[in-house]
Amino acid sequence: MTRPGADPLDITALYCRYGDLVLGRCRTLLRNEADAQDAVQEVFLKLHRYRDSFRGESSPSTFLFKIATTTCLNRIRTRKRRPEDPVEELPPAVEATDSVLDRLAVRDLVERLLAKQDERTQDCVVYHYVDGMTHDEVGDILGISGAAVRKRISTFRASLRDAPPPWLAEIEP
Amino acid sequence: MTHISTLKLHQLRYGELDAHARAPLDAHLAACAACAARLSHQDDTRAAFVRAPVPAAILPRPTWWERLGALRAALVLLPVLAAGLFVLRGVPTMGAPTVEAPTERLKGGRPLLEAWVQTADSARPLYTGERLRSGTRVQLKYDAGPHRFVTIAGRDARGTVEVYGTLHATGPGLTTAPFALTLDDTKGEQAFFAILTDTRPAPDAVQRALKQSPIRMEDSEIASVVLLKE
Repeated sequence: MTRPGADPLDITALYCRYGDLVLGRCRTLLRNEADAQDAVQEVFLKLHRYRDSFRGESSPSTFLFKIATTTCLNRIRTRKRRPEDPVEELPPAVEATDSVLDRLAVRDLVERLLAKQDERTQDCVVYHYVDGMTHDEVGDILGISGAAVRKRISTFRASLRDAPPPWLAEIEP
Repeated sequence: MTHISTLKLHQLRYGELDAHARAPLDAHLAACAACAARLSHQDDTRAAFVRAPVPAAILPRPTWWERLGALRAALVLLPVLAAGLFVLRGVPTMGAPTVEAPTERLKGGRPLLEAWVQTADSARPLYTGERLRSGTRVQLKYDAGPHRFVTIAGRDARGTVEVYGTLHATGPGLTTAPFALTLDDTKGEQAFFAILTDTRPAPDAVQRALKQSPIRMEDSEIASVVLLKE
């Protein structure tokens, strides 16, 4: 029997299973451990709001990865609008990352993105360069075609033509 | 060389990929040190993550129905407790009633194993038969007495036994296990065991012992706590 008020979306269970995925994601994109921990909580509390779309997803890990990315990029955009806020660096213990790029390259990429690109292009570039997703995989997660992703990435690359960063040559020689 | 995406590495760790999807990733990991290191980094993050407590904001809060249930139980239990005390002692006593120790002993004359849960505000002991949701983090505390080793294990309703580890005992007195355990979504009884021995037991011997009924293992004391997962 279902009890009145019982919530079939067990956020604590999802946190225990996928919290490390979200934490790793937030640490990669944010430069501050406290900010990353806050973002993790924000992601799981957002699940209440996204419960209908969450149930439609085949993979909770994909859905949480997407929400975590959006949450982090929104935080970075807000921080960019309030540059007076101090930013503390991550401690050395969490300097390593599970992304394709190292942390310095991620920071450089995010700063270049925020300076010139629209939000959808920012999403495409982060999934492609930071996470190593193919164009089609990025398209699947964002709900657009692989060709549209390729076009946006090309636009971003063109913006770097004058002074290409070293990390770009490493991953796309 | 195209690397494995971060999300795919996570899904590989979680066992969410079928054999067809897994095969090329395993082959890539065998040949690519960078991706193997990224996977190892994810494992390290996971190991640290499971040792940290669940933030209070994410812990389940009781619904109005559950709060009502607790109130109803209190209303029913209070007269029963009062009557029980009256029968046992002849006169009602003031102050808090004696609480049964939150442990079930198979052998021995003192509490050997306790299970605790972290709530939004504090930690509290669990009682044998208490109902818990999946995702709840349980902290075990044991008293090894004179024994040298403590093996912590669990058995779920399907009879699956997991041996979480064997620890060097630190002598008599209640000791907190150095890890917490998160309840998975298997419904029904979940038993936790502390097997106290003087030599380090083989994991498969522990597995065999905990699958027997009644549970038996030579030269050991075994304590258990049984919870109900819903």
